[in-house]
Amino acid sequence: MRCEDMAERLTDLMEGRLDPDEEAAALAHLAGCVHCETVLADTRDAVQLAQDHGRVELADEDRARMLDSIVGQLAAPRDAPSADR
Amino acid sequence: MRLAAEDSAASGLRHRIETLFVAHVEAVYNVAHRVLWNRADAEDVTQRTFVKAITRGEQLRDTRRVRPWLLQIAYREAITVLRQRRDVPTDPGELPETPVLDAAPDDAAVASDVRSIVGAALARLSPDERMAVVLRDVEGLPMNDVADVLGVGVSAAKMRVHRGRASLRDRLATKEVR
Ligand SMILES: [Zn+2]
Repeated sequence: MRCEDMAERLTDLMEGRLDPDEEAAALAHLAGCVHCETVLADTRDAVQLAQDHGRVELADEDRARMLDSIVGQLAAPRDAPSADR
Repeated sequence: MRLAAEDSAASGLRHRIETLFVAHVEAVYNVAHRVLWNRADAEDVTQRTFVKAITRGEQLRDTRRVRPWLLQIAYREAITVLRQRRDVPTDPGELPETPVLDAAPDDAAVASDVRSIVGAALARLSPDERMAVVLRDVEGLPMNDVADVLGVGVSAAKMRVHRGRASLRDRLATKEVR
C-alpha cells in the first residue's frame, strides 16, 4: 500500500469500515510509515477537538428567550378567541 | 373564563415543547450557527425549527430519529435564511460561505481559546465539508443520518466528511491546542 492509498482510506479506517484484508494492509503500512502514522494521529486529534470544542456556546438567557418565544408561538392559536365560543 | 381542561392541555403542550427543546437545542442552534455565523439568525432558525417540529408533531415516534430529523429541518431553514440574506438567485447546488469568523482567524488564534481556534478552523472549511464535519464529528450523527440531513447519498457524505477532516486537521495541526 502506498501513502496516497492510505490517505484515501483514512476515514474508512477511523470509522471501522474497511474490510478485514484492507484493514490489515492499512495497519501494516501504518506500522512502517511515520508520515501516515502522524497524519492519522493528527486527524484523530482534530476530530477529538471538534467533538469536545466544536459547538457554538449558547448563553442561558438566549436559551430561555428562545424557549419562551417557541411556547408563545405554539400556544397562541389556542388562546385566540374562536368563532364558535 | 379558562377551563381546567384548557389549562391542562396548555401545560401538557409546554411540557412537550420543553422536553424536546432541552434535549436538542444545542445541536439545532449549533447547526444553524455554523451555516449563518450570526447569533440572531441562528436563534430565529432554532425557534422556527422547534415550532415546525412540534407542529408536525407525532409523525415521528422513534426517539432515536428525532435528532437527525430536527437537524435536517434546521439545516434547511438555515440555508433558506442564507439565500434570503443574499437576496440573489442561487444555484440549488450552491451552499453557504464566508463565515464572519473568516475575517479574524488570527485574532481567534491569538486568543488561544480552544473553542475559538476550533471555530476558526471550521469557518475555513468549505460549507459542504464544514456541515459534514459538524454533523458527523461535532454532533456525532451516524454517516447515513449525515447523508439524510445533507440531502446527499452516503458515499457523497462520506467524501465530504473525509475531505473536511483533512482540512480541519491541516488547520489545527499547526496550532498549539493539544
Ligand atoms: Zn505512508
